[in-house]
Amino acid sequence: MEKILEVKNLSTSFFTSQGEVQAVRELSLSVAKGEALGVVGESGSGKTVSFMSMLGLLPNNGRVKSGTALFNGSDLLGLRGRELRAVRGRDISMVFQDPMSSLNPLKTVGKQVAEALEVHTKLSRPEIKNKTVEMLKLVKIPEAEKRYNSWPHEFSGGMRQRVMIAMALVCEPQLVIADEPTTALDVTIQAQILKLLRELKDELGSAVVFISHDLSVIANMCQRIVVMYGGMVMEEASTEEIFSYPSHPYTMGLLASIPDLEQKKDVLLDPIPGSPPDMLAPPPGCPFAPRCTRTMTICLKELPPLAEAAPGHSSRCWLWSEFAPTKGNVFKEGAVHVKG
Amino acid sequence: MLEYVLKRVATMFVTLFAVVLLTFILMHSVPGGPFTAERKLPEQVERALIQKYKLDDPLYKQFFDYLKGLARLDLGPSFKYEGRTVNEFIREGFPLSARLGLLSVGFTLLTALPLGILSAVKNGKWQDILVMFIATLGITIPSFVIATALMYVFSFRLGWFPVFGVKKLNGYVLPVIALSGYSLSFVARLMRSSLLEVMGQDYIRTARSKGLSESAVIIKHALRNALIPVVTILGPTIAGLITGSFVIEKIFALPGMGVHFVTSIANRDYTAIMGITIFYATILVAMVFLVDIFYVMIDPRIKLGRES
Repeated sequence: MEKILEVKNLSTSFFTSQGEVQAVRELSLSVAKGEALGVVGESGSGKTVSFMSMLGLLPNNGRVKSGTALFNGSDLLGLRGRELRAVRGRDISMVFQDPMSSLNPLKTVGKQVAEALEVHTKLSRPEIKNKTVEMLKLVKIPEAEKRYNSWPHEFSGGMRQRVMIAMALVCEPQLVIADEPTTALDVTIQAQILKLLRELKDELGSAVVFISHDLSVIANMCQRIVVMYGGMVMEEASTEEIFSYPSHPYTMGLLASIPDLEQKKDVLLDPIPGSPPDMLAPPPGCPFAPRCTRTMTICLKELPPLAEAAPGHSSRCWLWSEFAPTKGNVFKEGAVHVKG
Repeated sequence: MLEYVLKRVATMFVTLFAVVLLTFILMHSVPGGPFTAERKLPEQVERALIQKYKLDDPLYKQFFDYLKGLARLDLGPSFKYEGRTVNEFIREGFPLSARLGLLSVGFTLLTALPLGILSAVKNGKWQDILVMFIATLGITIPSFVIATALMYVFSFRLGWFPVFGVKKLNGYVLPVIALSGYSLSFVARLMRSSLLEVMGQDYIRTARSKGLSESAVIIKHALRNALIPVVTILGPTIAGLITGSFVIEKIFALPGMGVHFVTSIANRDYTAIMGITIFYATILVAMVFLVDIFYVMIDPRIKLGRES
């Protein structure tokens, strides 16, 4: 499939009074045309920062240190000012996490959606308004014509997120980055928003990068999943593979900590012990090693490379190394993974 | 809207009544009276004066008499200056104070807002540091020091402006700068911090992600939000500037209201204290009222009355 976004070796750091926080380290990933890619990881794993880096939306103390992000062949990281703004909102748009704070309280929702069209198209005012109302209808806002003039505070969280989605899609971008779009919503509203996103994605043919810390949400949305930890890609595979044959201890830990409806009451959830690494001084070895149940000596010393666990399935774990022992190795011994 | 305005006007009267009552009580609790002086008046003279101004009536009666006068907008005769009324004091002093004040308000807004915005946009750069340095000076240096310094440099040394008086139009320049110094610095700092805070909000990131240019983000999204706290303090600031600063008026020998206010307290000139306090309070309350109306115009989240 044709790739529309190809990120290579992206590193982003924040420069704080305590030192350099290495939020993203040597990140590589790609998004194909019309694809839905899930990016999963805990808070602080660098999911959001990596995409903010590409759009130049980092806070003032954040800087992209190296890497390329080819979007339709041109490097986003090399774009400045006007060129970058032409991409934002038109070719790549974003849906943010918190719809309560992501809308300007002093502008009507219609105007805020229309603004993207004003910036990126040469349509006349009535045309812009028509298109905006159409978009509001598409995201299923009832009485869209009337609601055009509503204020954000008159909307519920779910409705506001619909407005955010309308805003992101109104210019029919090739890529939508949805950054935890349902985290701040009720579970029922969450399901509605996910359904809406899925439908619109198919209708408009945009590719979607779906950032979340919730694997089950991503499973519903995406064909392919990138698991991030400590600013790095830990595992990447199709959704099916990730769920059937998780090939990294971190992914296995994530899957084990999802509550199961059929689980007995007295069986406790199995959380991953410890907390994510301090990115001010990331460990020299595998960032997950201190929390991993299968740590070997090398894990603490050297960073594992991304190894191919199966075609189209890569994992950053020393257990995949050709020098790793076979005995007691979950990935090699028990045929956890059926190759091919 | 009309219902809201009427309600607000009603509460304004309640506030003013409270001001009248409190001032009256406080004033009468302070030892001494208008006719206590270092050199004691002959007893008969004092008694005659007290009777003339009805100061021997019970306090509540004096209070109601005063209210009756107030209802006719009559602030009463001055106890200290024979044959002069408090209304006259205000009529004579206020126009100058108001002119000086309005010029200062204009000067404050025209300089403080752009400087605050510039400072926020250039956060951390030399423009920011320079503006904030001057603003800190403006807040920390008392106005009489600024006034005398300005006077020394621009009037005595350079001779650009008159030393005192406003016979010539340029006589306003130095008093306006000295009077605005504090509020200007305060508003500039507030504008800066408020804009900086808004620039860190999520909806600013949303606006940027839509592809708006930085100037469009500031003008169309950040400024209006950042103005809300600034508008809040503008009410009292404007009232304060208009009713005049005693110090500035004294230094530049301007016959405004401030002088009367301070001397009336020292003199225990009961009616003058009351009259000028009420006048000041009225302007303050009116300004706060205007600010509230202005709020509704810029912030749709503020609902008027009980609409819903």
